[in-house]
Amino acid sequence: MASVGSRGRYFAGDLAACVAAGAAVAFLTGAIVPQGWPGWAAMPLGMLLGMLLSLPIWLLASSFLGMLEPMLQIMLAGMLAGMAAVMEPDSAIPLPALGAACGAGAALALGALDLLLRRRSSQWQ
Amino acid sequence: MAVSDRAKWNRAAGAYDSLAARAAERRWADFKRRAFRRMRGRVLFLAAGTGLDFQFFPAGRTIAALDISERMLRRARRRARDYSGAIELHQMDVGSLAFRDRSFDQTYTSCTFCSVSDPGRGLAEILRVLRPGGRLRMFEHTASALAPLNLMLHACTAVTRTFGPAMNRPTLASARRAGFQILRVRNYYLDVLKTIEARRPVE
Repeated sequence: MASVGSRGRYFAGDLAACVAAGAAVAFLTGAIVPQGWPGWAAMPLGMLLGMLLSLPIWLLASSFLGMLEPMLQIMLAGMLAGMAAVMEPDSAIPLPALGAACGAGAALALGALDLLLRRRSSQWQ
Repeated sequence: MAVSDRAKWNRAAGAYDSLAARAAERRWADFKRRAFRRMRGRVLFLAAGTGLDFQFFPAGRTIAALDISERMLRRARRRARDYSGAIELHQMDVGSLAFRDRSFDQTYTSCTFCSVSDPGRGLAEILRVLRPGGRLRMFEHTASALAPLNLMLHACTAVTRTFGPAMNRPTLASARRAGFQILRVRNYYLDVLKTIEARRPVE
């Protein structure tokens, strides 16, 4: 079925966009949020900043991947990467790599959930 | 309400194809073709936009297509002419359809109820213009049944509402509330992009 092939291509595109968004967002969030903030303040700030900073990457990706589905994934990737960047500022892993891992994790988790929800929905309601 | 909807979509018309719609049409082309392939009888197609979906319609049908924005419809005209059947275009609000009761066999929507301001009123209007037993087939972005996904959809909607659609509408529940009998729901992306098949109950 043609749609199976196109799903694979778009999954790869979504994954690449999430990895790019995660890396960029973690780098920028780490540079913007000063180190040493208490976790209760840094975490929500990192998440919010991460979501906002991921939007330009979503806009860029939307020309190739569609408008709304990549947005959900890229904003989640940005949120996780922003949170990781402020919670682990002294991580042994460079922040862009940490963010890229968050982006890949977001895309893979949503991909697995997508498979599950699509399989469950073909029943009559 | 309809006036602000019209103004919003008139503003969006210029960049709609290149910024918002073309990549999405490519991504979901196979699925839309499948969703529209059972068009039969007198068909109503809602929120036609610039007519990008016309390429997925089966050949030789007679379809009444409407949109609230005259600028969108201006762009849709050429695509309607290229269709190998008959598409009549109407400028109309989904919430107040100027058609007689029970005048359509089927109604199709494509990313419509994430965009109209009063989904309940729109669905009630569809119910009115469908004949008893007539089908409503929807290809829609909706809210998720999963709370964490819904939180993300609310965050996304805070951005997308400024230029167009809302991604957190409970469209399936709204269709049930409007009086439709839900026949089948099929997810295409998570449980957020889906086709809903419903019918007007036979009295």
